[in-house]
Amino acid sequence: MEDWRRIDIDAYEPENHLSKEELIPDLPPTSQADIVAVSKQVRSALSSGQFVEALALALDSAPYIADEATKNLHSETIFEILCSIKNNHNINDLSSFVKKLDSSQQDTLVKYLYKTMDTSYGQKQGGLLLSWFEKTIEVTGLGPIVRFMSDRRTV
Amino acid sequence: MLQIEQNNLLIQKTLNERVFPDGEGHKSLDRIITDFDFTTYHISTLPDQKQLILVSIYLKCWDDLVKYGVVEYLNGKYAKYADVLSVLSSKDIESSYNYSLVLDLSQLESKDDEYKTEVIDSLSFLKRHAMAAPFEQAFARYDELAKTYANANTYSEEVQAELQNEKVLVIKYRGSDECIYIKPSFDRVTVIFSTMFQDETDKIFGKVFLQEFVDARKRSVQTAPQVLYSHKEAPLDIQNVVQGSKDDENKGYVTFVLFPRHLVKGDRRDNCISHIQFFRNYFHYHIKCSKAYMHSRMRFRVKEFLKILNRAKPENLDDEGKAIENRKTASGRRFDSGRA
Amino acid sequence: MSQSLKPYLTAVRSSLTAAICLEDFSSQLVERHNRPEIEVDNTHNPELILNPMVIARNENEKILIEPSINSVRVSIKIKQADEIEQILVHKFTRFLTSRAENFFILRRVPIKGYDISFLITNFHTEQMLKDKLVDFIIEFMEDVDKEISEMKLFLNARARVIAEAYLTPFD
Repeated sequence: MEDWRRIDIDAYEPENHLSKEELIPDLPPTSQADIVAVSKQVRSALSSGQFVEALALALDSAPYIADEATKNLHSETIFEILCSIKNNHNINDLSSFVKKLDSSQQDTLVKYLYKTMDTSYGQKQGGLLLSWFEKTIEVTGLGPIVRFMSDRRTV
Repeated sequence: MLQIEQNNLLIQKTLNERVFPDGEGHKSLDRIITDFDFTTYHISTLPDQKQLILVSIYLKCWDDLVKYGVVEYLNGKYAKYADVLSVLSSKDIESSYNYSLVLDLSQLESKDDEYKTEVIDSLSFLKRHAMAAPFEQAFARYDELAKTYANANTYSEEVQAELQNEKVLVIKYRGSDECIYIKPSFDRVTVIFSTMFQDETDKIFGKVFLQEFVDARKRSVQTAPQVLYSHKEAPLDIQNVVQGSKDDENKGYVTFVLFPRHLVKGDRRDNCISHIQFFRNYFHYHIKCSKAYMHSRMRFRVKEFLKILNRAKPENLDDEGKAIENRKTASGRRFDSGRA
Repeated sequence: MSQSLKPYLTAVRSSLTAAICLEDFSSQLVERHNRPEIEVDNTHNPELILNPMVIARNENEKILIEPSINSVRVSIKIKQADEIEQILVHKFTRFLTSRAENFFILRRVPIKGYDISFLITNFHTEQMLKDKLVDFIIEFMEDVDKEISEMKLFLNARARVIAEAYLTPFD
């Protein structure tokens, strides 16, 4: 037999290792057109003062399977909502907005907060994102953070 | 210790021990003393003539100083002690040194204490005096110019051009990268130091310090010389005489503009010379001091951080990180560890 | 305490508390090895690495938390407003990292783009209290800022005294 030390034993058991591709959740992809449509809906909702509706809508239609550009577009939309809510309300009212969301929406909100803090436009508004984050965690506890870390449905 | 002493303490001490001896007789002596800017002194007794003490000095920039009349200046300075102190002529100077003096203890013995101290002090200022020569020359030139242009229209272009062409005195006191440039004019004397910073930290600290030098005049010490600082770029006055590397990131130029009020003949002029020639030493000394302070501060802070981190350990630790044993309850009973 | 510092530290505290949830985990690739998975090239085992978190106060002050199954890497970017602060931060972090063995959780080399990194493994959490570890990082972040600005103030004050002391005797 050839040098048995060099045999790639992993090749005999392909089940033992997960690949990056396998970690991607099995969900239908979202197209850019959908997200553009959502952002339009959100804007009209914002202009008519329906903040909660806009936020809930945007969080429900988060694109998990999409290209980077689409994902970024959506996170900008959400950032816009967060800014406009903050600009139109007292900082202490933010928790009431968070309370009106259901738990999966809250999880998605935390995902977007983390994502936006990693962008340069988000870092310019660090204070705003941080106060959103603070209020959200006050309402939800640490759950959404843990789910953010472990959820493969990245935004 | 804010200011650096201008004389050399070791010379002073060594000679003091000799001139005011505790015990009997003259022992032989051979001491090499170093000073700022690669200066070396050698103090030794002559063989077989232990009452004669030879004092020699080596200066890195001696060749420059000679151009500006250092020998004559020093001879002049020490001439008044001629009966105890003899300056050696150029062929007798100790080899590898630049200037030698011989102090005759047998002559000095008969003098009063005050005179003895004066001689010793003036010897301990040897380096200061040597470095002062070019300054004296430049200041003398200023006196001349001031007289020449006293009634002239100094704003006219010819006069300005003439002043522009005034010779610059260059002293390469620490090799060619760190020089003193002196340029006399009719209403001021400009002294420019070029200096190298060893590392990035020195450079930044130096910048902070020099900024304060520049600002100090505006803020509190209005009568001080004007200070200018430029980084890398040499000031216009000396651009064609700059020595050493020209395009070095770590090089800085500090300009002092001395005004007539600082140049008044007599004590004030002497004081000004002694003070300005020590600028580089003073400046770098304080940079190093700040670094040392920062270091001790950081050491303290690190200790504090360690204490905080050690709190995370579940054993009973006190602030120093040592285990606390025998903890007692309020009633004086001990905790029994290890038993369920 | 400035306005956005409190929410920043709260966010870091809650994120760290959630992230430091570690277990002993032997390498799936190499027999009898037990490595901090976050430090290993994990192209083979992508499932061991969790999503990294960035918490930013502004462009110059942020923290990166990279969790994995048995280790968390925390990298901090300290505020540096000017040249002086840059050099002070640089000196200070170098001072700390050269004493890394005393600091158990300190990483000798920071992650690129950050000034200082910590690596917390399951072995640390087994020996130390998790909440106190989080406290340490929070206090560290607070104190470093304070220390840097104090050092800067000191430097300026010292420079002023020295300049005046030098210039006064001229007259």
